[in-house]
Amino acid sequence: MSILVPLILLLLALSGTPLFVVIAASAIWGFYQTDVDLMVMAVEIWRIAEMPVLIAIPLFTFAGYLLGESKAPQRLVRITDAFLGWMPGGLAIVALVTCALFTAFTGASGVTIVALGALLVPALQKSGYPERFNLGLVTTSGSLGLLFAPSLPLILYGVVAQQMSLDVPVSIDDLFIAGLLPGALMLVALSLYSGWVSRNAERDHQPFDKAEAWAALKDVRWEMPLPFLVLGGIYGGWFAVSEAAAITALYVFVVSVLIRREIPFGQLFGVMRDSMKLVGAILLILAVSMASTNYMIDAGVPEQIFGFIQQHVSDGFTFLLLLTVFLLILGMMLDIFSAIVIMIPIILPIALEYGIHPIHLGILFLANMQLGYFTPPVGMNLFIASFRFNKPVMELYRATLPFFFILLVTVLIITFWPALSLWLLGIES
Amino acid sequence: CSLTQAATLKIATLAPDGTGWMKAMRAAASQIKTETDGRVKMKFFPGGVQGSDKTVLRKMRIGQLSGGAVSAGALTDVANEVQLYSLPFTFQTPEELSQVRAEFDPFIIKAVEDKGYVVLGLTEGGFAYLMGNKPLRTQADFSGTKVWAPEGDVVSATVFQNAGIDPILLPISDVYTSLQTGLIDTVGVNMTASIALQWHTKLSHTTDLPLLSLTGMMVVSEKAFKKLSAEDQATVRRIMKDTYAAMDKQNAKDEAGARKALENSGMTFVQLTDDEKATWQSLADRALTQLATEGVYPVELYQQLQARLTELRSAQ
Amino acid sequence: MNKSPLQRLLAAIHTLEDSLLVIVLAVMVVLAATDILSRTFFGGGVLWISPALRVMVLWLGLLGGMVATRSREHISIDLVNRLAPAKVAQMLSIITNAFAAFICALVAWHANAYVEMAQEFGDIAFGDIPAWPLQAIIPFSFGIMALRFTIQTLQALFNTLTGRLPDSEHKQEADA
Ligand code: NA
Ligand code: NA
Repeated sequence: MSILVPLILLLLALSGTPLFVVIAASAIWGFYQTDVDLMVMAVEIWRIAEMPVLIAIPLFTFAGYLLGESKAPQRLVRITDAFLGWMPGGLAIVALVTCALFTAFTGASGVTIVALGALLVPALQKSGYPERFNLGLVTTSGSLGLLFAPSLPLILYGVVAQQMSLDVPVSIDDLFIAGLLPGALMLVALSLYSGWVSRNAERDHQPFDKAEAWAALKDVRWEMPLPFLVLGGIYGGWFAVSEAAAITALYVFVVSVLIRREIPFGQLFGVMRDSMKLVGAILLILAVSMASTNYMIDAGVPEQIFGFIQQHVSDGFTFLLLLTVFLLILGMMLDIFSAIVIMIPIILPIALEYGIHPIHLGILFLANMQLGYFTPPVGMNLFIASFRFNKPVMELYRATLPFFFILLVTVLIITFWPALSLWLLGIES
Repeated sequence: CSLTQAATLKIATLAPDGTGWMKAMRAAASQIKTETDGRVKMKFFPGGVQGSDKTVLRKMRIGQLSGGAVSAGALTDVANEVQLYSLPFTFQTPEELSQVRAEFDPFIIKAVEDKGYVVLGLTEGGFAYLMGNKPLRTQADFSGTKVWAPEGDVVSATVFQNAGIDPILLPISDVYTSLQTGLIDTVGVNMTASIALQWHTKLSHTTDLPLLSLTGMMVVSEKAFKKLSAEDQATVRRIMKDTYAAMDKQNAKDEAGARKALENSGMTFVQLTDDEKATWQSLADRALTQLATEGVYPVELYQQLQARLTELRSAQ
Repeated sequence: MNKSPLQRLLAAIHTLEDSLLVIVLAVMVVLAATDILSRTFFGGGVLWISPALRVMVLWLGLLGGMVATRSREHISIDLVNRLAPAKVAQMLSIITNAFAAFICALVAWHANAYVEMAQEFGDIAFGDIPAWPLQAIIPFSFGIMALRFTIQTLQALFNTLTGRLPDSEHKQEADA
């Protein structure tokens, strides 16, 4: 009996039942088993209204959607091209950098591939890059930038970890700093590969054009303050995350709707609604997972799993290795938000027992998930790209393979070299 | 036969695991288990894993939790008597509080028990002091500061507002992060907690004036408690009472120790002149007048307490 | 194409929902910005804003969830639709939608009981504002979602019985 219900729930999840329903069902089943009144579901859902940091989620999402609907992506491509285009593999690096920045703000919901892919693939094609390379690059870049502030998954990891009552507090600002070097490592690794692939692409080498650089700079004058405002504000300790989100939302609204007028009021309504559908999807999962997590804590599930694992895994190294394999599979199947709210409450207490720092765990978890976005056969971005560029999925498997192995190496480095995540925070690993 | 069945009292608290308080609680729990021959067990959920004090009270109402160790402020809506000891500048020294408790505790306990809760313990959690990142002596010193007040704590909020300060209301669980990010930079907290919660690492100056006494209560819902046999109920009450009495003594020692530790870690204690103290007192009086009209505390009982304190002071 | 009265009613409900969602978001942006600006320039924030913003987050989440149910945009593991034949996918969607309807109804039912209890106990959200009207969004949104999942179950059932495939009708259905 005890295995039957989880099995049925798993099958229902695999058959496409909305995940918030599956999570709610598991919590309901657990509470029902232990004679807890099911009114507890409402108490737990209401806890969403008691967490100040969550204010950042709708505000950043709204700002990200506005940016995506405006012509900001074009301007972003233009300015990175003007400043990085002269390098070998310059345009490929342009693609990587713009995608990473864009994903940090939009949270890797496939928006990057759809919004930027249309600009970047033709540009890369024209510059003489091999087609397969372009497809692979854009598909891979769709999840690049998850480790950079203010990415929603980083915020969500902080939110979930803070519910766990750890001896080591996990602050979202620390996570933002911890993600910098690992995120940069991924960017650099892919840039080096791109430079190597394009060493023969002659048309790629264009000289640095001062006039174009200046024009591009003027073009982004309104967007330019944004990274400084948000990142400078958060890293500099001037704003709390939720405050930065409020300022970002207001600023982006004023620029793209009132000043640049790229989004007419008629369209604004739709953008607001669509952005809140994503927020609804995320927060519903978070809300019901408050209940399932609460049940697990109530029933001592992490302790039981730890007891089981401890019998078979003696050291942190083996644990991390198994965790990596597990997370790769998980990342293929689950979207990043669900993966965080479902798995972190179980994994975090266990990882702590193996001496893994909660901030390092967050970074390695998200790095693994990032890979999961385009892990064959079922990574989500493979299908989005297949749809967007009208290519068979099999072709995308082949196209992303070299990128997959490069990022796999960086993920292993991030996993087994905690100092990369913790050094900037001054934490001894 | 239900009386012979083992019952588990599930108790949640914001206090972190590993604190002296939690150790005392676990010791009490094991004594209770032994003396009831295993009929009464206690399971603790420390560190706020069950949510804020308010959430804990909600979960007690629906029966998921049997009880909680919560701050008195969380019970204000239940019975305003809980605020009796928590009003600003009521006590000049911790000793004064200890001297009046035998007389006034029963009022508080009865008021809460009348509302369907069983009070297993009432404790003085030390005095709150203002801690910030610069010397805070006068109202003018507060310009540009971001002061935290616990969410739902009407008393603190009103005192600050009377001083022309609009506090930022946050749940306790968000204070550390908010200090780190600069969302707040000034808090009112007792010394032990400032260390246990690591807040002291983000603060440099303490204004050396006890603001108000922090009261904590362990309450269990009547429904959960009635499931125990009368004999077991008495055992639980007795052991918890002894534990809390011992803890009050320990708390006083801990506060003194925490003060030493803060001094050693480089915390500056800012002394106030008598004039400055008088200014604070008059602010507090204004706030109390306002709070009385809002029914936030039991006015008559408080006057009775004030009268007793005047007697004590003149006797010295 | 002429619209039936039922379709017009549905459209009106959808507009109402969308408007509520958009208004809450707009109010939230304005309040959040006001809070920071007044704190930065006038030295003090407004006490009730931050607890109000937190409640709005919950409202946005639940209203957004309701709207996402309309167009089936909930996060799910989408293996079946990617790998299984359309017929199988449609049959599975009867089961998954029915299950979702059941669970949402269960949450709505118990949440409603909870809100009644909160009303009875005079639970306070912040300031003098009682909690129950703010909490009422929980049973309401889960109730609406239960209703939508039920309609989608019936549609999938109808399509299966009449042998229609989801793709041809998908656009219209998505607005259920
Ligand atoms: Na984001
Ligand atoms: Na994934």
